[in-house]
Amino acid sequence: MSPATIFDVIHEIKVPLSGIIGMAEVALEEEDTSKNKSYLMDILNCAQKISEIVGGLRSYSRIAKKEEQILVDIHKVLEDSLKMVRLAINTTSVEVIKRFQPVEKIEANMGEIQEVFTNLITNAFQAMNGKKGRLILSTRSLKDSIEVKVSDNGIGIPQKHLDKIFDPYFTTKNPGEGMGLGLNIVSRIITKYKGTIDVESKEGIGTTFTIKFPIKGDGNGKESFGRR
Amino acid sequence: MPKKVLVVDDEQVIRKFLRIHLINWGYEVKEAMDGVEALEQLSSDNFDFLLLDILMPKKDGWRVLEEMRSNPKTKNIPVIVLTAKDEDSYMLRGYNLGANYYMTKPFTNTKAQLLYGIQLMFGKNSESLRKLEEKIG
Repeated sequence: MSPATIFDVIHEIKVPLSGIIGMAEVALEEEDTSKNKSYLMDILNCAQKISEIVGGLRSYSRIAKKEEQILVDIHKVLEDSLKMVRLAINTTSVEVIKRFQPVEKIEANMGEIQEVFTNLITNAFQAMNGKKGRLILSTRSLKDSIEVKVSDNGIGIPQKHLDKIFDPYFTTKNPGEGMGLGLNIVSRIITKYKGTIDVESKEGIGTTFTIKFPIKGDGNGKESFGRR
Repeated sequence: MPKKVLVVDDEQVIRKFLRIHLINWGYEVKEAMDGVEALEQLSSDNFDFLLLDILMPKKDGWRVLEEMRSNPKTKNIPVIVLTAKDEDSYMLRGYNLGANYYMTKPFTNTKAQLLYGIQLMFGKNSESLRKLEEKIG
């Protein structure tokens, strides 16, 4: 999980925590005890929100901890990453479109692949900045690779920044919103699996990241990284 | 006539306990759940001060603060910023944009913190401020 995502998760915990503390303070001072049931319901709802977030973090850390490489179902990773990001940031105004075609599984570390897509999906939501937007996640199988696209119709990346976005510590975010390591980590993980990542972006139109992971050849000597 | 407060936060529970405290202190309370709604209410009504969240849908608190400060009708309305962003850079940004006080979530001792902010804005006596400072820690 990137530092920026951790920061967002902390923020998401602080809000219901404020609700618990605030409503408990009110309940302690309330002389009309018949009102306390409603205050306790508010406290319970806030605690349940925190519980959901912690549950998400727990399953994430369980996956990330495992170092072994397994056959990774990219569609499951995309679904899980989307769920994780939705817990952390406000995504209610964004329409998510999934265009999944049958693709091979890839042999990889589940946590690392999830980190790739958590980062890309977080960036996409942030680029749409809580406005009415559209996130498209698509997959398809190519001759010797699988392709995943993450597209948004957010603010886009200025042309002059496009060749720097994968550099470590490069960021256009406000202080405290991210250290500029997210896309660098993404790029390093993809390179580790001999994959590629490309970006197309237009300011005011949106951004598309295209990731390709190589898959196993059909016995003609191609390198093996994916299996059906 | 009671002072009128606009509480702007997208979280219903936060608006609720702030409203309860403010009403107990004799304020008239209006609420908005995002920046757009806040600016609409500011243009159609008169408020003595605002409690303003930062991360909200449609229009965030920074933009509300910017628009308020550039509008002659609202530029002098005191604003207490409420946010979970507690880094110095955020607080500095808030004060640069014209926030009068900054409360960070999770609030601890909400009542004392809120009273302190209100008294600070309206220049109440230093003894009661000192007592509240002790409570807030």
